[in-house]
Amino acid sequence: MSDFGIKITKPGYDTKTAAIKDQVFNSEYNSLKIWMTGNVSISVSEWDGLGGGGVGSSSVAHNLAYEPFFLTYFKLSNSGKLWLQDSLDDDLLFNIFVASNSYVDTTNLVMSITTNGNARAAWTAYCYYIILIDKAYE
Amino acid sequence: MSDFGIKISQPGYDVKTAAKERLVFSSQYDTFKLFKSGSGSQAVPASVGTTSGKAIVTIAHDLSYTPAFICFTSTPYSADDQMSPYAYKGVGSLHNIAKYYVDTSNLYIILYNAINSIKTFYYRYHIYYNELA
Repeated sequence: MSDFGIKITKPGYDTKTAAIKDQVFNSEYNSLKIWMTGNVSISVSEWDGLGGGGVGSSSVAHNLAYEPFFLTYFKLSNSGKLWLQDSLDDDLLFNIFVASNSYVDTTNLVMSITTNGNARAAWTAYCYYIILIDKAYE
Repeated sequence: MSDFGIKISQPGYDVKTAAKERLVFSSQYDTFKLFKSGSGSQAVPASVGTTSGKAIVTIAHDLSYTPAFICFTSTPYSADDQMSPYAYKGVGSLHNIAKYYVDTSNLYIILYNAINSIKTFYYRYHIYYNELA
């Protein structure tokens, strides 16, 4: 007999008949599993006005030996706003263009800030990350 | 004794020996717990010159901390284009389409319209109990 497992439904649904979308958990289907969470600071170098500087990055080792699925959120110093990756606001940031990016390889999650604009002293950003056990791709 | 819990492996894998990435579930690892999902539409004003039209959708979560979230939005070019959780963002104000952030009270979806006529954007969001900390 192989028809066994665990199903948990949302409130108000019968677990014997509920559609998959109305189930909180079903052991027949994979669930995202969180491996690591945390935050890092990113020191962004001074923009020299000549095409250099204005960049910074930080890495976190995940030790999974494959590329995992992840989510990252960026925050500026002294701000309570956490922006989804690639979404960092430039309306409030010094009137310059700024990009926040992240990627994984088989060893690290790398989080970076790139700017392009007015001269600006060095500053700090923060990145909050969630690294999942699940692979980004098979 | 603290070595107890629940593990469920993917089909074809022995739960006693399967690697963690071959498990459907393990009580050893946290999961995303959905707090709130929703969807809607928002009209975004036309661009004026080199400035995009802009609208902000505010969704209250009242969790008193910054929660993890994912958003999807359409673009001004097609209501069928559902962007990935990651916002499209180019260099220059006319290249922004959507940006998302969360604070301890609300999720904000900021929509930009680079076309010189009003456009309707469609959005969907998922807010999780998981705290960004």
